[in-house]
Amino acid sequence: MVNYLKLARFGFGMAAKSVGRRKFRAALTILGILIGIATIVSLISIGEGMQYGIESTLKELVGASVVIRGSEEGANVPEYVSDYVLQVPGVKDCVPVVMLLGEVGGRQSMIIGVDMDQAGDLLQISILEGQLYKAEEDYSVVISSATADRLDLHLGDSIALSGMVGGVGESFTVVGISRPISGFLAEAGCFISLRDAQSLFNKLGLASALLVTLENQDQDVYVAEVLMSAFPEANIMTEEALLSSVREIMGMVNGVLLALGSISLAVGTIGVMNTITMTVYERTREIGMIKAIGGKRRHILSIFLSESAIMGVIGGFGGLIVGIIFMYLIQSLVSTLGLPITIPVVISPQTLLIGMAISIAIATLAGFYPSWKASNIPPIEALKYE
Amino acid sequence: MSSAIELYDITKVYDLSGTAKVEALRGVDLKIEKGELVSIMGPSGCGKSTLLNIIGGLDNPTKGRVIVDGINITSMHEVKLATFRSERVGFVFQFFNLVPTLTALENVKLPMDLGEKLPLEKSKERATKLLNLVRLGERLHHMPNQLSGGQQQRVAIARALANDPSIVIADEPTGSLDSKGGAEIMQLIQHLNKTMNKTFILVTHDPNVAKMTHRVVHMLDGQVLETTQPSKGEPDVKGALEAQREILLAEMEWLKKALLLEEVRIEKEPQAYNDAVTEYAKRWKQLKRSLRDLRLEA
Repeated sequence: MVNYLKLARFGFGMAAKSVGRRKFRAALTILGILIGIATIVSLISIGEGMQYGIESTLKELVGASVVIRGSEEGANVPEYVSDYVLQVPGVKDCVPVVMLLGEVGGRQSMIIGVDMDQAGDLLQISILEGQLYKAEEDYSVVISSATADRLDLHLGDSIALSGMVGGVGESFTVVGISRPISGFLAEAGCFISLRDAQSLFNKLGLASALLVTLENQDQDVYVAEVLMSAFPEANIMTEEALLSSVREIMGMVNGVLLALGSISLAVGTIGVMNTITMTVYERTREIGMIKAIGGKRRHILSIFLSESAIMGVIGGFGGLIVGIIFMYLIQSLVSTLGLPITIPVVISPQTLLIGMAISIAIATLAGFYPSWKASNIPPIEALKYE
Repeated sequence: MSSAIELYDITKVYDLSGTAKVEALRGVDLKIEKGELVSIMGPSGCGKSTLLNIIGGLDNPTKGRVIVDGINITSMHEVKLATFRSERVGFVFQFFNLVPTLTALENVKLPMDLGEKLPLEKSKERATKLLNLVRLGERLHHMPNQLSGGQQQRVAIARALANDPSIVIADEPTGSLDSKGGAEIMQLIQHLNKTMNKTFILVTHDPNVAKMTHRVVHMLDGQVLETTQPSKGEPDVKGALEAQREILLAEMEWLKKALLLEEVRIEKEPQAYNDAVTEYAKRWKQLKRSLRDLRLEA
């Protein structure tokens, strides 16, 4: 009967001493694993973060059940269409919205033009200071607290908004400061009245989209079909369809990110295998000696497998930490570049678990072949090895 | 008193790449009693290491019968042999072969951790005792590279005794030590042999080492030439000297033949040929010097 507890303690003890007393060599191997894991973890998390960001932005901004957009990009749905839409049975409300990229306080940002009295149900904007503007108040803006912090703005201050990047801005008065919208547009995104937005972007009478809410949520597909037959040239989608198309795109993006991560992981794996193979060759005589004095195959395997597992655990753990640091770096890089998006750092337990599991599995697998080979060398041969 | 080792008509043939066969051992009969301290001498390639490997259960003979410590290990399976080695045989190597990442104490513990005899907790205590026995009690936690060659070999001897084997096998235990270190190791081995009543078998090139054993087994070309008893009076010493002389002469003969064979390489590998010739010349000089020493001793 093999005493597996004793075997495990033996293998782990030998391996721990070997790793601990050959620090430089072990550190190189661990670094190889670490880079692979850090890359894959940060890439997966960026993918997840982007997906989460886009979805929550959509959900928060577009509380509508059905969205009507023009057939092309840009603000090109005539505003008056909403009058017709309102007459479709089951429609509760229809809100025209302008949502375009402009410049807010010198930085590219999403400018959302919507009348708040209409959009109250649709947009869950939580005001931290001040209040929402009224329809008749011109040149009033609600900015996010992030923008306010950046430019050190307070209620009553003025801020320049421009419909064109680099264009000459118009001065708006800050009437409200909102909690940043979760997700993608965290820092960016400010709200002005529909009228102001139309004039800022030179789109009088037009909207980027009409957001339709329903009396009964279950009727979304039916209403969408009615609208489609009424306005065949428009682009009409239910919220569900919108989200699923986003998910589809994000799935592809994630796939690409994962492929990139896998390449770096493969390089890491080969590195680990290389180092462990070298270690095994270097220690052939030691293996021969251990076998000569009565060590069996399981003893050799337990030493080397424990060794690679230990390096896998350390490399995996380090990889997770470095990966998370990576993501924050990317996030701050995006915001210092002044891009109008924020990539939320989403660290899901699954990602951490997967990263750790991959690390241990890969290190152990990479260690298995050389260890197996080593355990099969006859002791006499191994002892003669120079 | 029963024998520690009984070898009957041991033959070992190595198959080299299908066609070439090398007969390393050709019908060796040998008995070694319990508690004996025996040395095996002979020129390189005479089969003494092969014999030692077979006694130690590292290799199976092609033909013959091997009984060690009352156990027939002639055709024992690899896995069973490992257990046999772990429990009955201690090994000492020319190059110590300590694990460089383990302290002296951990190195001595190693065979106990590999074997099934002792629980992990007891092994530390026993290893400490053994290191005290080889007078390294103050260097328990030194790494091998912090110890001299002689000290490393003493650690290796303590390791060989770890599982309380009945037989200790040493392949040129003094081969990589200077003469002083070698003498110390031999004194330790003599002492352990006497006090612990363990059977020691060592292979050596060094006549001074052989002199310190009870019995010298002289080998040549895979056969036992004769056995002599150096420590028992004048006639035996003379016999041993004569035997050593024969061995030296035999090796010189062999060198001549080998040199002729090397000539094949003159054209294709002149460098290798030159190296070989230099090597042979060096050995030749050594042999001649040994012969002269022998004559003086006689």
